Amino acid sequence: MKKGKLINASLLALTVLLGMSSCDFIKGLFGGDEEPSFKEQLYAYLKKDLPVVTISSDKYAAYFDFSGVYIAYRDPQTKETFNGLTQKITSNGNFNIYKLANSKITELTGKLDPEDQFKQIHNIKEQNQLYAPIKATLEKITEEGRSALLVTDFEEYTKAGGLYTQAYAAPYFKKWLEGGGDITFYVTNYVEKNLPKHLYYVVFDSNDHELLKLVEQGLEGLSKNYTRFTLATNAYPMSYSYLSAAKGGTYHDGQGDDIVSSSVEDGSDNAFFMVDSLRAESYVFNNSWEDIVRNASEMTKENGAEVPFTHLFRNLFIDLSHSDSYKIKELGVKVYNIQDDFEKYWAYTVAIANKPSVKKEAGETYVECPDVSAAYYDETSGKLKKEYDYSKEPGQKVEILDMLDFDDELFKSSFNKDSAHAELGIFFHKGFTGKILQQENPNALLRIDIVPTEVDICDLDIIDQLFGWSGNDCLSASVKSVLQDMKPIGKPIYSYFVRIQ
Amino acid sequence: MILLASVPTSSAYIIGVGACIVLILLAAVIATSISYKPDLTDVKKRKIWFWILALLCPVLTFVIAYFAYYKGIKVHTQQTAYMTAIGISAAISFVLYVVLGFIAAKVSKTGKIGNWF
Repeated sequence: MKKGKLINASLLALTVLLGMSSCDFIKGLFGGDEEPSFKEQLYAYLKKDLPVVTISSDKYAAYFDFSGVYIAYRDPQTKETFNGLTQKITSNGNFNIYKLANSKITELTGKLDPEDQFKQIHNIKEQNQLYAPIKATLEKITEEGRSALLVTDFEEYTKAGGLYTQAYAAPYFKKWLEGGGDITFYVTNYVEKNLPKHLYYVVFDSNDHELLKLVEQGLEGLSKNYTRFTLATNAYPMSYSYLSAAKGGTYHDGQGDDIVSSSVEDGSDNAFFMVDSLRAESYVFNNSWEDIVRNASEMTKENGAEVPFTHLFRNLFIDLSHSDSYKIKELGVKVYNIQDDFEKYWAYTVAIANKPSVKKEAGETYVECPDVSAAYYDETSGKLKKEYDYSKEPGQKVEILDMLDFDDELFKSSFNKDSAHAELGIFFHKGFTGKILQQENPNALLRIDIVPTEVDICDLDIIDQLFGWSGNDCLSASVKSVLQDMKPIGKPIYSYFVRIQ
Repeated sequence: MILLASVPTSSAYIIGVGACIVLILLAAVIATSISYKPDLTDVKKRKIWFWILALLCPVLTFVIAYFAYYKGIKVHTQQTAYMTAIGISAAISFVLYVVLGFIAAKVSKTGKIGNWF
């Protein structure tokens, strides 16, 4: 009897084991059981603040004004840059190209090989039309959310034949910037019937600046008869002088070891990494905040430290030498516990990517939901549960006070030496012991943002010069209005994400 | 070896237990290798060896843990944490040695090991 029981139990255990392993095997085949890495989750979290792309095409859009702008190309230098730009766009092959004329936005038709596209864009007969719908184009660009190039003079005619003089572009520019994008203008000058005017190559892009890079490549080495102006709230080039690609901006001793925070620097997925295009970096510390503060206080010259501890983060530099839109005067630091918000957003991302389907069988309807997202949807209605709907109610973000400060002195002294290389340093708030009062979980995910606290709008005379022309201030007024309304005070220009393990 | 990642304080405890086991076995080997004497001096000898090795137990734990791990730790708070672990482990290894010795002595009351207690 005993023997029989033993055999039964063994068989049962074997079946369970086999069952488990075959499940894992199948899941492994489809990659279903892989826990998403923190990197993947962070990218998704950061991308929620970028322009929302509503169009399914993964191509860029390029819009060409066909209402007499060709006059500008008579200038040999403009002809050169226009040629360079169109060569790049047509040869790249990753563009939907549109012409703007007769109050219509129409995609180029025909053979649509690069040669044909290039011919059409350069066909002066085609270009001698009227009524380029610029306002509608701006609306289309902001609606679609994908990166776009617009070549125009911004002269919009009303149906009655008059010129638009109202700042019609302002709401669209604002919308693009609010979505986290930026707008780069290449402004060239030309004369039409003795009136000085401008032709603009306008690039609507997001932080990764892939389209902008293409445009820059197209213009590389050609006459620079244009002025570049970036309408942006946070597009400042950043640079670093970190010890290596795997090591971040934390304290390192003479041997290059981070012996204060014990940041994981092995290059693995669960270590320090940078997210260049999204202006962020991520750290995993092996010490608690209390230990980090204790270690930091030990690293003094008196204690024989070869390299004394000064900052939690430094060696990050910002280039403010040609900040077009705003002049940053003061910066500060904001710290948030984003654990809840981060988790809620990821759950929402998973839920949206794995929607349930309503099925009908034998007259009965039922909801079928993928395993990964089953917890987020109502079993009977198939609707997203309220508590997981991030779009309606984001997670909690708790601001942490009196923990970190921005090193104003370091910033100003390095800025005065070289405005293209101003250093951003963050140190512990005086009196911070490592105990974070505003949070229960001492190891929660923290987001540390560097934010402008005081900014000046750029010289408005420059705006008039670049965006105004005889008798028409519709564009300069648009740009001014955007600059006045979108002051980036409190908006992060760079973020550190820190986990304690 | 430089340990920057979270220091495995468990290693200090493993060393303590390991030292204890090695030394208790050594004590047993020594005890059996001491031959019986008519004047019973062998009993005293076994006892003395047992207690010498008992004192060596925390010393060995400390020395191994110190040179194998502690010296490589650069992070101040981790040094403190590891030193505490070494201290506790040394004490545990001593106590464990004595307890194991006591049990062994009681189990083989009539054998040579029985002389420990």
